[in-house]
This record gives sequence, C-alpha cells and structure tokens, in this order.
Amino acid sequence: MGYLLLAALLVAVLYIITIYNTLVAKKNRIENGFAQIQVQLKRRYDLIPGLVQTVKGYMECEQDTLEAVIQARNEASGALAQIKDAMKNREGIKNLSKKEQRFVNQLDRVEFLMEAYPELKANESVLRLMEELGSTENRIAFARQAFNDFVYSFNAYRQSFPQNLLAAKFGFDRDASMLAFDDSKLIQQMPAASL
Amino acid sequence: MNFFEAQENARRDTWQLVILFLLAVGGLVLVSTLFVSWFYVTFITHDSVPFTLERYLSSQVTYGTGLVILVVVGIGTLYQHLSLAKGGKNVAETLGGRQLNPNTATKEERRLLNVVEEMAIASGISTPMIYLLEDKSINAFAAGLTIDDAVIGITRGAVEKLERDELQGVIAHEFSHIFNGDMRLNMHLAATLHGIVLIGLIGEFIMRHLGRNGGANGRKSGGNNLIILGLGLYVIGYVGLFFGSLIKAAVSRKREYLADATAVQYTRFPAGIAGALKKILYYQSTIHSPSASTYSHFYFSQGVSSIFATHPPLEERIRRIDRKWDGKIPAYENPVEKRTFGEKTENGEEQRRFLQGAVAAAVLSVGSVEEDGVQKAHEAIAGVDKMLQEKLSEPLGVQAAILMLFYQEAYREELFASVKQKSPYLLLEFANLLSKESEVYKKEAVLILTLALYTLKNLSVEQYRIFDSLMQTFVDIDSKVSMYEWSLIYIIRRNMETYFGERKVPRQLKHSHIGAVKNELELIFSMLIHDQHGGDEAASSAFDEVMHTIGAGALKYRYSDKISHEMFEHAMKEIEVVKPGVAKRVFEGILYSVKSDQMVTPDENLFVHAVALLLQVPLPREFSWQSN
Repeated sequence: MGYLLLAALLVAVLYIITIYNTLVAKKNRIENGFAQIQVQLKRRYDLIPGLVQTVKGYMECEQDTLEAVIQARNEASGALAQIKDAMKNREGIKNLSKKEQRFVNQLDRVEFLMEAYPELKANESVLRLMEELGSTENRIAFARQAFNDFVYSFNAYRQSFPQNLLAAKFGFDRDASMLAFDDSKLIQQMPAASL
Repeated sequence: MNFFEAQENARRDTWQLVILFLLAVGGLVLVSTLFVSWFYVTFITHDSVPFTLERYLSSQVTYGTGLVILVVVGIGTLYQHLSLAKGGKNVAETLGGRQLNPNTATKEERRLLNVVEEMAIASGISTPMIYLLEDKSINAFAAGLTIDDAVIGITRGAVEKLERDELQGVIAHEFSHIFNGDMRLNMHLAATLHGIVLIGLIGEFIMRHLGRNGGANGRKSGGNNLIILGLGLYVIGYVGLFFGSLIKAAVSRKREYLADATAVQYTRFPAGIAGALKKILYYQSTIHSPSASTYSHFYFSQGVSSIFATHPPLEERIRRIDRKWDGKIPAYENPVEKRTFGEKTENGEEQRRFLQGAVAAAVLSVGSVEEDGVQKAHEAIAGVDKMLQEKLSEPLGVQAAILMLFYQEAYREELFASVKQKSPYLLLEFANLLSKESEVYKKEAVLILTLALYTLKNLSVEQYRIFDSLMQTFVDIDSKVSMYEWSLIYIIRRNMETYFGERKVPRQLKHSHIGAVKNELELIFSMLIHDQHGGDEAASSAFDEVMHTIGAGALKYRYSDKISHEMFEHAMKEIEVVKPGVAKRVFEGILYSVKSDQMVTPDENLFVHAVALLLQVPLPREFSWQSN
C-alpha cells in the first residue's frame, strides 16, 4: 500500500514537472516567434537600398518617390533598432508599427510605379529582387501567423485542466496576447480607390 | 477546411491505430508462446493429460518461451532500427538527390529555397537541407528522424510545374511530417514488423532444415513434429506481418491527412495544396513517368491505392481540403508551351546540350575548345536516342548507364546483387536500362561517357564513392581487366577525381627520353597490335612494320603469353610520368599501333581517348565523339 502511494506521488510530481516544462517551452516559442518577425522586418529593410539602386537608372522621373521610400525605410529601420525587450515595450512597438505602415505605403507606391516600366520586368536582377521582396513579405506574414499560432497554443494549454490550476502558481498568470495590426480597422472597411 | 479540428481527428485516429498495433503485437507474442509450449508439452514431454489454460499459466515452459519470443522480437526490432536509422541526408543521397546551394541556385531553385524558408518560419522549425531530384514527376519527400537531421527532397518536375502557392503547399506538407515526427513513427512500426517477421523466418528455417534433417536421421516422427512447429511459427509470423502491415499502412494514411491539414495551417491557403494535388492527378493520368513509381513509398503522393497504400487516394485528400470540390480537374496546359518563357525553357534544353558539348570537347580533346568541336559534339549528342539522353541527364540514370557499359551478361546475378546491396534505387534504374541491347551502347561508349561526365559531377563525394566502388566491382567480376574496361574507368576516375580535388598528382615527370620507357612501350604496342592480327606471327611482322614507320626499330615484339595485365597497368603508370616532348612521341606510336590494321574499332577509339587524357596531349580529329 505504501509503495503504491509512493508510486502515485512520483507520477504526480513527474506530471507537474511536465506541465511546467511545457508552459516554459510554449512561452519561449512565442518569444522566438516575435523575434522572428523582427528578423524578417529587418530583412526587408535591407533589401530596399539594393532595389532602389537597381531601378534608379530606369525611373528617372520618380526620384522623389525613391527618396521618400528610402527615407521611410531609414525611419522604420531606426525604430526597429531601438526596440529592446520587445515583449514588454509597448511604446516602442507602437512607434515601429506607425513607421512600418508609412514605409509599406511608400513601397507600394514604388511597386505600383514600376508597373509602368516594362523594361524593368525584363531585367534579371530586378526580377530576382522582386522575388526576394515578395518572399520576405510572405515571411513577415508567416512569422506573424506563426506568432499568433504559438499564442493560441500557449493559451489553449494554459486554460485547460489541470494546467489552469497550476499555471498561475508557476508565474504564467496571464494569457499571451495576439498581435494586433494597425490595419485591422482597414481590413473591415471597403477598399477605397484613391490614387 | 477546419484544419485544427482535422488535425485533432487525425492525431486521435493515429493513436487508436498505434494502440491497436501494440495490442496486435502483444497478442502475437502471446499466441506464439502458447503455441510453442503446447508443442513442447505434446511432442517433447508426451504428456497425456489434457492441456488447460490453467496449466499453461502455471507452467515454467510458458514463461520461458514467452521470454525467448520477446527477446527474438526485440532483437529483430533492434536490428531493423539500426539499419533504418539513417540520417535524412543519407536517404536523399541514395535517391540521387543533389543538395541545393543558395549561392548557385537558378531562378526557380531560388524560389524553392525562399518557399522553404517561408515555411520554416510558419512552422517554427529550423530550415532543413533541400535536395533536388532530377525527375519529371511532381513529388517530394521528407526524411530524417529528428528535426535537426531532417531533409526535404523535391523533384525537378514539382519545381517547374507547380505555381508558387502550390509549391508552398507541398513544402508545408513535408514540414508537417518533420514537425509531427512521422518518419520516426513509421520507422518504429516498420522495425517492430521486422521483429514479427523474424518469428516467421525462424519457422521457415525450422521447416526447411531441421525438419528434413530429423527425417534423414531416421527419427521420422521427430522430423515431422518439428515441421509442425516450423509451420505454426511460419503461419503466426506471416499472419502477424499481414495484419501489422495493414495497420501500419492505415497509420501512414492518417499521417498524410494530418500533414495536409497542417499544411493548410501553415499556409492558411487551402487552394495551394489542393491545386498541387490536382496537378499531380492531372499529370498522373496524362504523363506516365516510369521512374516515378521507383520512389513511391515515402513520397508526397503515391500512384496506386490499395489497402496497403501508404497514401490515401488523391481525390479523397483533395475533397478533405476543399469540401466543395466538384471532382473536376482544370485542364493544365503543358507548362512549357503555355508560358511566355516557354521558348526559353526549350532554349535551356538546347543550352544544356551545348554545355554538355563544351564539356565534352574540353574533356576529350584535352587541348583548347574549338567552336566547331563544340558544334560537332552538339550534333552527336542530338543523335543519341531520346531515352538514353534523358537517363544521362539525371544522377541515378547516368550511374545506371555507365554501369551498363561495364556489364557482362555472364555475371548477371552477382552484378545485380552487388548493385542491390550498394544502392537499391540504382538497381531499379539499372534493370530498366538493361532491357535494351547494352552491346549496342558499348560501341558508343566514348559518346555516352562524354555526356555522362557532365551529369556525374552533380553527385556528392559520398555518392560518387559508392558509385566508384560499384564500378570497381563490375570491372573485377571476371578477375581480368580488358583494355576497354581500363580505358573506361580511367577516363571516369581521372575526370571525377580531378573534379573532387582527390586526384593524386603523379610524382614529378621523370622520363625525359624515350629510351627510359622502352620496355613499357614494347609491351603496350605489342598488346595493341596483337589484338588486331590473329596470332603472334602476323602481329610480329606488323609490329616491325609499325616500328619502322615511326623510327623506333630498336623495339622488339613481345609474345602475348609473356604479357600479364599487371604489367600493362604498370606500363601505363610509367608512361604517365614522361615529359611532354616524349609524351608526343609515345602518343604517336600508340596511334600508329592502333591503326596497324588500317581501321579503328570502338574499343581502340576509347583507348586512344584515355591515353590522350593520360598523356595530356591533343586528340587528332579523326578520333571523334562517335565511333565509326
């Protein structure tokens, strides 16, 4: 009888250890997911100077636009570099997403203008850059999506029985929050055709 | 598709099946234990008391045999574990994959690598290595037992025929296999099945050997009894294997659904993977690629569907992703014709041939590459028949084609066994190719070789090492090395070893005058001339004639019975280290010897090519790509 009790206790302790470790692992995945978003944002910033350099020769009448995109890129890149301890620095994130939004708008403009230059589409290195840029945009989207999936997985685990009894005691007292996008509001609206 | 729910369902179903599998294995061990102890009591101890379950359970014998059978199954499982537990890299290389390098990737390969990184981010797994397989069908696989060790392989057909979204779906599917540890699960099941088979194998062994021996010793009843034991174990083992395989296949199909659902989670774009599946369905019914079936078992999709199929039918997979699917497949145009860069792709083909030609010209004429030399090679290549040409452009096919040049019908079984042991996938290609008349190809050896060397350089060092040892086996099989074999293997090794930077550069060139290699030259010239004239006498006078022409009257003919292969090889080593001026004269002598009967056979042609490479002298025009 005594042995049985001991065995049951041992199993219970092991189970609790597993819960703790899983919580830690899931939390870390979220943090890593967040870092991944930053990595991909930086990757996109790094691609821009090369792109501008390549298209500059073709788009001579659009120098202002090109300068504006470089400007916006530098600001956004600066905002990204300033962020430390990203999970808690809400102010920094807010600043970054504002700058990022402006940069994306500028970049969209450039991409739109590029449509008017057929010779750009025939240029091998432009095509290559566009593939890289497109891929990076995908990566940013996937990184955000993965972040949200990790948050979902963490929250679902934390709220289920019996973890819900223990999580708070282990210091995981709050749900992680998903990324809110600045364009969330825009998504709800009808697309406006403004040029 | 509600992918989270679909994933949960698939996971739950898997676990039920795995538990069923474990129960089946347990039941099997139990049944065989009962059977063996029944046999023991009935035939060995000749106990007349009827046997009840209670007696079984209280018998020492039962526990003893139970333990023995568990150990047997355990050993079988462990053994198979060890042999299956190869790294992912290993699997991909056996299948003839080439690792993609971001720095040298083409536009399409770059797109693939980007897609892989995107999916690595979406799944939160570090980026695995990517291998490209030169195969026209659309397929992909994941291999490797742990996440760090995982690789993804994908066919050229998939990279070229799929749109970006579809490619993303396929890659996401493979990431899901990695993430969910499906390769590992599959290996555990396969290894356990092997343990079960071992019971059947032991039964078979008993029936074949012990049963018969018992009879021969005059203890007829003992022999018969042993046959009962053997037969029982045999039946138990193979019935177990049958049901075990059924469950294993069912598990594998569930994991495919899980991977499809997870792919949708990663891409959040069901149309991508559904589109890829539809495309596979379309091309499956229109183009039949014979090599596609070679790799069916652990791939993205599988052609046949049966209860043993490891993949669910494509239609059902599509329907689960896209509930509204009406069963219609869009009529995909042949991508090469439809797309605007279609012409470019054709150009690519042309360009590749041209490149092959340039390589061929550089390899074989040793000297400078001339424009018309390339042109000539180009034309010759276009003349090779289509099937062989295709084989020569992909890594497994090219190995098979070269082995075919070494092939000797008399040693069929030994040669097949050696290929099977070294590389089972190569065996399939090899067997496919051999159905053609291989003797015809041997006459075209020079041309085939020039094309082959281009593709052969896509092998990794390890892949080449295995291939090299296979070539050696093919040459050594009849325990003598012909001039033809020597030339063939010399040309391949010299090129490949130089390419891999493994060639041992000979000691400094030491023979500065022709007299220093007099013995060697006598030997080589004599061999060459002897092969052209029947008998030593005719050869001897032809020899003197040739020597007179090249002003080397001091050389004496060697009788063929005084020449061994070792001497020949030694001679070739010696003439490799003559100084350039001497090399020219040596080569001249060889050319005259070869032409002593006024004609050049394909074998001689090949030999001249090898010697030109060995001496690093330019090849005269008449020794062309094609044999006459």
